[in-house]
Amino acid sequence: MIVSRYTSTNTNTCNVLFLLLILFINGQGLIQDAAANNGIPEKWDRLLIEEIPLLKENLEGIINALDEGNHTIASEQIDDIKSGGDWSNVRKELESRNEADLISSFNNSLSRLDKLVATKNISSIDEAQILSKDFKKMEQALAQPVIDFQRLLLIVFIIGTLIAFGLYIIPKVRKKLDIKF
Amino acid sequence: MTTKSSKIITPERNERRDLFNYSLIRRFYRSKHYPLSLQLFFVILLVIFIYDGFIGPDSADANLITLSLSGIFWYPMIFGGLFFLGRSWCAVCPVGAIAGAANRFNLGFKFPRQLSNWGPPLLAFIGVLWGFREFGINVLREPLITAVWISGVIAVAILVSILFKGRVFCRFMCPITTPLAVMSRVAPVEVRTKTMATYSNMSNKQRQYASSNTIKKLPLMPEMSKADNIGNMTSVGKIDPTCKSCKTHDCFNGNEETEGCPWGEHPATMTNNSACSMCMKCVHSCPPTEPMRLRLRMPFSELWQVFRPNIYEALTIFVLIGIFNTFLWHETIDLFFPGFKQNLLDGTQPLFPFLSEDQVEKGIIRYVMSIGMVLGIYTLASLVSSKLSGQKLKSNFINFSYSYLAAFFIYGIIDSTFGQIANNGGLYLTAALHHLGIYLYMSPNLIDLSSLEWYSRKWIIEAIVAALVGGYVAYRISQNITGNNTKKIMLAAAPHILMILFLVLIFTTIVPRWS
Repeated sequence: MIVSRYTSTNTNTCNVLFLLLILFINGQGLIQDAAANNGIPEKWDRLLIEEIPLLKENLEGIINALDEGNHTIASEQIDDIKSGGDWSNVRKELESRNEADLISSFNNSLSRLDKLVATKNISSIDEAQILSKDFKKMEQALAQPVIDFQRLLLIVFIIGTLIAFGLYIIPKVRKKLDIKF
Repeated sequence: MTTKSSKIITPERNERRDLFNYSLIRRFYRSKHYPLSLQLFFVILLVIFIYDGFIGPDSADANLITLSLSGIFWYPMIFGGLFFLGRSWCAVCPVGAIAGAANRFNLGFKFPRQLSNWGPPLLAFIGVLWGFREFGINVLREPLITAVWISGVIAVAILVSILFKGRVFCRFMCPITTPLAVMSRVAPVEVRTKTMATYSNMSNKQRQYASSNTIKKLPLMPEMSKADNIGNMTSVGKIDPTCKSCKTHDCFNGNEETEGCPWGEHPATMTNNSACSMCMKCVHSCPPTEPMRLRLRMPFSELWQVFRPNIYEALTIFVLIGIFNTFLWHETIDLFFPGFKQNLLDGTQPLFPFLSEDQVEKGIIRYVMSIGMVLGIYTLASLVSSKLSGQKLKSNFINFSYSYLAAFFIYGIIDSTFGQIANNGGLYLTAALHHLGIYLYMSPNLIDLSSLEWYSRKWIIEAIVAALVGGYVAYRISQNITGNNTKKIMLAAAPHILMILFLVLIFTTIVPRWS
């Protein structure tokens, strides 16, 4: 029989629990400072997962419409960007990352394009390309990770603690309740 | 079927292929924390996902429960896992873990034998998991519905586990148990005893004689009828001597430390992966002489070494092939029979007055057609094969189905898993990292497949590999069931090889263009 094969398990589990606790308590101060300096957004909008592709679709719609010379559809797409919530949410995220230059550049391009499309100006295609480039720059900026160390450590700590606690307590409960297989 | 490979694989070669020779793997799988730590991790994740499903965003691409269950869960975890590690997912599945915990307090009822097969879970897969989607209720893509559905599954799992002895839910009720059971056979690893069990090709009389001095003392499997149990035991030609002399069979019965095999398999007689989740309970409870091994083997090789092939497994294979391209036959039928689609709809709709036109078209006609057509053409191939080789139709139908699985796995599963990760990997990573506190936006396309020139021609490689592997498996199956008569081998295999080629060409050429 192998009844005593893992006698040191509970001690190891306690060590892991203790280590996690120490790490969490000591890390708190450092993490808070780091978070304050890194410009971490208060609440990252996870709907950006949907909003950015929608904005991209709008931009592609503008370029396609202008290629076909359809200024009405292009104008509708511009209105969509301006009035829809997608751009405003992306803007908020960029603001929290201190990317004011990118926002103003995109806004300027958008309003210039709007005017050119309204007057059915031929150079609106070039402006749409500029707008598209501005958008790519924004995408690149958003692709830079901003790490909330506090949250990261908290999650690792909570999940780690729960697992370690489970590994510690489950065999004890089994023994206590005298569960035999 | 008899196993021929066992004759050429020497014990020394077998020992070299034992992954427990590698200390990292050995320490991981033999650790007492496996699979409990992973089960706990996935239970925690499931709780978070369900919570998000109820109170999180409505968007399927942003909610954790839909993101995980419709994307990450299926492709990298299930299909990727199946290819490399068989049905290892079942060892760490959170629903299984909850059911297992509830099962400790079971009331001891016996699950009815009539339902102890893969028919009910296959129906659950066809009806609940996939059929609902065709009726416009996608249980994996609408956060609230997904959360309610998963909570319901957990509630049923707990109830069943409290009522009945053994892991009844995982074995006979989980909607994905049959697809996992069938597809786990392709994996290149297996948990077996040092001397692998092989099934002899003795006659019934010889088996009866041999049973008196072979392994009749091994415990019977409670879910099988006595006749099946005896059949199973007496047809084992070779088992490990340690298991033969073992008095306790802890691997099967369990002991005070470790549960017995949750799937009711005895490692000494186990010859396939379909009911092995690699939970390693048998490894943990086995005495220090350690006859248990985790062996590498040739991928797909189990498909031509199936002892007691199962009709439910055969049906599952064609259900999988059918539903993988639900739209194919329905959408293309008008090309061959103009107006047929509309006539079919007009004729069918009055039979289901309580359903909308769309539900009848997609949920009834298209769905039934997708499975029915594949089953129909396979039956035709089996009929021709059985007539040519003089076999029984049922035996031919069941045995050769595994060769289609090999082809399907290559052109369907591997391709879609790669496509899914390449196209949506960024989405999954963005969402997962966001919840960990790493905020960034990644484009959903991890790899821009449209920019890869070779990718547009991948169907050629896919078609060739799928047809070759499927054809080879069909040939080996034919060799096993027809004996050494070359003419018979070829006559039995040819219709299936041609049909595999036909299906592979349809699925790799027409389907991607049509969709």
